[in-house]
Amino acid sequence: MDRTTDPRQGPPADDRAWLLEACAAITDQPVDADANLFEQGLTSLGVVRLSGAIQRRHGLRLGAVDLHDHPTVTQLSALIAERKESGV
Amino acid sequence: MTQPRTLSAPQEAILEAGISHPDPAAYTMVNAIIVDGVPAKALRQAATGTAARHDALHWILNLDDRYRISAGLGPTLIPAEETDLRSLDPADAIATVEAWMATQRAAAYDIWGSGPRIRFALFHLPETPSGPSTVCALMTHHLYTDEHALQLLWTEIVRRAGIPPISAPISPDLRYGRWAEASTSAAAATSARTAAEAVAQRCQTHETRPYPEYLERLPAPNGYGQQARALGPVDTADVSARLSVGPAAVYVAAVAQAVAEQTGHGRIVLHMPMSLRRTAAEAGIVGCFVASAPLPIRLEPTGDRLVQHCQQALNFASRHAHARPGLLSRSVGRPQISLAIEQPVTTRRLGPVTWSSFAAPNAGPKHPLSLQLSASATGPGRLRASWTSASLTQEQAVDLLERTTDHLNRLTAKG
Repeated sequence: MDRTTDPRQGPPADDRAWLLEACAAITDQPVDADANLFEQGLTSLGVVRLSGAIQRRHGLRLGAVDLHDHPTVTQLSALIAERKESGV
Repeated sequence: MTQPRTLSAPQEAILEAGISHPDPAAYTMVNAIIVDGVPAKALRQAATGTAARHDALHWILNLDDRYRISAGLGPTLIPAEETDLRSLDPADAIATVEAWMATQRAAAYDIWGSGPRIRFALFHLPETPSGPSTVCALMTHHLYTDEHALQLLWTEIVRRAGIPPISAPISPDLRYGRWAEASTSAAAATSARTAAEAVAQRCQTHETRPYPEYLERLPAPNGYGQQARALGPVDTADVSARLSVGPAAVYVAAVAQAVAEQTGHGRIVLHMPMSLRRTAAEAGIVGCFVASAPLPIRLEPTGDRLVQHCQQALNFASRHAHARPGLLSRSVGRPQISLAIEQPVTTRRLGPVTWSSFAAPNAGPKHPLSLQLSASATGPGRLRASWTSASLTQEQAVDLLERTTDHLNRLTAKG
């Protein structure tokens, strides 16, 4: 059982690993960090769930446009780091 | 009911639409009434008591360990801010309230927050011959109410405040939760898919490209514009009786004619908010029951035939308003032009108490071109447009409003 499916392990401390895990849970399948999330099963309701998860963890509001402009876990993770740093 | 609440199909659709919209305040709701003849204290107690009773006004969004969304019950103690405007001239007091409403309407709503989901504000106005005069305003999100639910709330509040002892039921109203659960059942999902397929088929031969493509507009910087014009009384009684149609068919026909003239396309798709309340019992439930329904319209050779066609299109859209939004946006495309028919400003009376609605504050467009029409046979109405800069110019928008008004007048002309 990996991190994605083992509820006994808490959320990972590392933001990128957490994002990877969240995307896997939302799309219900393992996710490639450098592949487009929308080609890996991310639906419009999935965007809402992911945005909510990011807001809960980081206090950042990301819209669908942000996710479409940063469609991989790697890109999204960088965007979150950038927004946190700039405080926007 | 202590278990997590299931979000309804319209609530899921609003969450999706909200996250896709660049404006974080797109689905913030601000609404207000002026109540004469009731002490502000009674109004405050009635407002907070009424809000506390409706379960659907207190749902906070939760994410489970798989990031699925459900709702839990948030605080039912509703804050009510109070502002004393009694020292102001009446006109200045109203202007102060309107400015406050506009500011609130533009404020982003924290949908993932855990604080109260609805807030009240009371403004004490200069006293009138019938006694105290108070503005009662509320701020919430479209997830929690729709236009009809707001009217239910105001009516209950005035009843509670104006005629003690309270005649309204005081037990918690949990009906929206039950309706929400049914709206996302397996049977409802199948029905929503079938409805989406039927709508897609009906829209197949209609123009659904983005509005600027009809007009062959050059790209413009981001931003939006808005314009409103006052309407005189619009009496649809004659045409309604003659053609056996409702007023909405006449309004839709006027907009369709104006858009078709401007774009040169005789087959367009207007998107309209439609209620999913189907029964008398559902008509009494506070919650969000609204879905955006595509309305495929084709121009007809005469105004009468167009109005009749619009009525048929409205009937079809109403029967299929539960269509699954995700499937619709893939097959029909995202809404380009929307038309919302709003309640005109009205005054109502209950015993010695009168209350009047406030005109909704202006807001940015929900779609590339958003139109809001409120009309009355006996009093003034309003036609508003808001649009993204990438869709229309100011001149084109003004031209569209003028054309719509002209067609409205022509379609409702007597004889």
